Amino acid sequence: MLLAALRDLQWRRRRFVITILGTALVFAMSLLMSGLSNAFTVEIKQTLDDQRATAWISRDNVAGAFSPGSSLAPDDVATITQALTPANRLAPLLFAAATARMPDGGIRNVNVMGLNSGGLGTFTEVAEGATELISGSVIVPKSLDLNLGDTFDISGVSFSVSGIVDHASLIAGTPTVLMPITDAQALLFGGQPRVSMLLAVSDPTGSTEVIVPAGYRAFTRAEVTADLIRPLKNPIASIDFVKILLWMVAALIIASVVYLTVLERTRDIAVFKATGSSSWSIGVGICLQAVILAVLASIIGIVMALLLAPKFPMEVAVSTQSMILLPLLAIGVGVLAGLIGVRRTVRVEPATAFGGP
Amino acid sequence: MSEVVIEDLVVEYHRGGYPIRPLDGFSARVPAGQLTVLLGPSGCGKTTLLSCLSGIQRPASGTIVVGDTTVTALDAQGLTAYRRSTVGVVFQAFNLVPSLSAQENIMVPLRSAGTRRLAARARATELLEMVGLSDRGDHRPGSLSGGQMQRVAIARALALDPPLIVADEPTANLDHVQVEVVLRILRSLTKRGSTVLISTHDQRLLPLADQVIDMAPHQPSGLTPVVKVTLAIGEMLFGEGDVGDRLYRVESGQIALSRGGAPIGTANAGEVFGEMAPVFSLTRSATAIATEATSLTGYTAKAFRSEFGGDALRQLVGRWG
Repeated sequence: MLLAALRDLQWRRRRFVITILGTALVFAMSLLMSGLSNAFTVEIKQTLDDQRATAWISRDNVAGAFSPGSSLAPDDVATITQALTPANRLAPLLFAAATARMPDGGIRNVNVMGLNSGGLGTFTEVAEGATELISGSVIVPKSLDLNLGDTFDISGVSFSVSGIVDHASLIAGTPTVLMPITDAQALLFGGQPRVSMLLAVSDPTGSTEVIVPAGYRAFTRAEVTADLIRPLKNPIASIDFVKILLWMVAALIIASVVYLTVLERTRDIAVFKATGSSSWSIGVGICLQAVILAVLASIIGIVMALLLAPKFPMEVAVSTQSMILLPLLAIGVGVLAGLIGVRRTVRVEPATAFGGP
Repeated sequence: MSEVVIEDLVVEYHRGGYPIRPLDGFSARVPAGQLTVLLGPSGCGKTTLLSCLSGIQRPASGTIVVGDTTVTALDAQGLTAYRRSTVGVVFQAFNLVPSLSAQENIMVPLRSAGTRRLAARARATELLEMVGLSDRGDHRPGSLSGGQMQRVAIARALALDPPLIVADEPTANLDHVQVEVVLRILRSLTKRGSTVLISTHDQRLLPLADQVIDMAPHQPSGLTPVVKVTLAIGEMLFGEGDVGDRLYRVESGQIALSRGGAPIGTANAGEVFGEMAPVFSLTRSATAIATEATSLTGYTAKAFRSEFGGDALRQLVGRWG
């Protein structure tokens, strides 16, 4: 019956090609959704990689180093600095949300990071310009569409672009701009010498952990990641929900076409049964058709997703894992969709084969 | 070689809420290695009989024995195996799968039976040669003539070399040239030792047969043309599925007509009913019961025509309801 199933695919190829393309688009949308939610994690990973820290130190009564309210006064910084060694390479970081008025007059939300030039947290290389943090200048990601030397306002203060990096964003693609910490303190804390956290690395000659005095806490990379992903919990859950709906749509597209085909093939199926084929073997052929449709759609869906991802308004990181997983899930979708046709197949009476045309 | 013995076969199904019995106590014996023609008009149960013989439909009662196999005693799996190995079916509408080539259509039962692809292909080629279509194996049914399609269908029925071949109206959709080729092939199958059973309503096929089973409901010969009948209240004149030999005129009283237990009308004094069965050699489609003491006159179709004229009979047949 496998031969009959394959020949039928060829016979009704136009219909099946349309089905494959339609389902592929749905699969591509599902992959883009995965890529979108994956991008939220990828940007965090990239930011933390760029910072080269292994610990993010703040007071122990805050939810996380990047949470609102995470703030260290100069005394706090002094206490922590005394307790640690130079090998911990402490570096202050001021992190806050702000708005930017772009040269074209548009308003963009940005994350501001204030840092000491050359310390932990600063870029070691840029796509254009310089890595140094210069007062009155900022390093921006390409997503802000700015050129070297362009000036724009952040919270009413004008800055010029001294460096451009490929990627720098947090919290669902919000661009991150880097500036000297003193500029950030002047801009956001009214000139108070407070910082959001201290970045540190573990002492290569000592413990792998960064030990801080009582009242403070060294957040690990996993904890910082959880802290940064927390505001995105609902959007990620919503995206996952849409993904499930898209899987259902894909299954229903294939199921409806396979079911329609089975309806059209009622007499063929009756003849197969009348000539001694079991319902089981006919059903396997029907399921095989659905699985072939789903797997082909998944492969085309992957190509579509890779082509569409750069056009997406937000950063989309389609992972290799999800591209490998998609055809496997497609097999499941195909089997489920095929079962609807199989159910109909079992009901076909072989006696239908008798009678006129 | 398989002899076919059918005993007291009853097939009943329900349609529109009332029971229909296309076969009611049918018995026949089909000798092994012979070609038997089942002759009868549409609706007389030929296809139903073939459907039971080919293990596709289960009768309500009765037995069918093909060779050593009691078909009516087989379970679902046994029937699938029986359809595969013992019987080959040739359908009126050819029923070739349109997406498969002629050769692949013949391979379907072979592959279902587990024959390897190459062996199945070789067998299909051999059968195509036998039915004179060795050059058409790669063609799909859409590019074959009706006769060619039926020859492929015969080859498919022969694929697993079954001892019994049943053909349902195999020539109904063919022109006379194609009929000739198909009939020659069917006739030649008995030489291979197959028992062949062909259903048809075409009397021209009779010279082909070693045996003819006439399935038309027949009126007994030597009927008295006109009879007087008296019924007491509640007495039945005829029942659904009975052979219909007369039409009746109510002289006095009343007859209630019902189908499947549901009333469909009454016949009162002076009215005539029951004309379809004797005129068209059909079985009764309704039951007639006297609702009071009733006297009737029964006529054969011929007697009615001579008594009341052809027009009266035609008007009766042409009335609605």
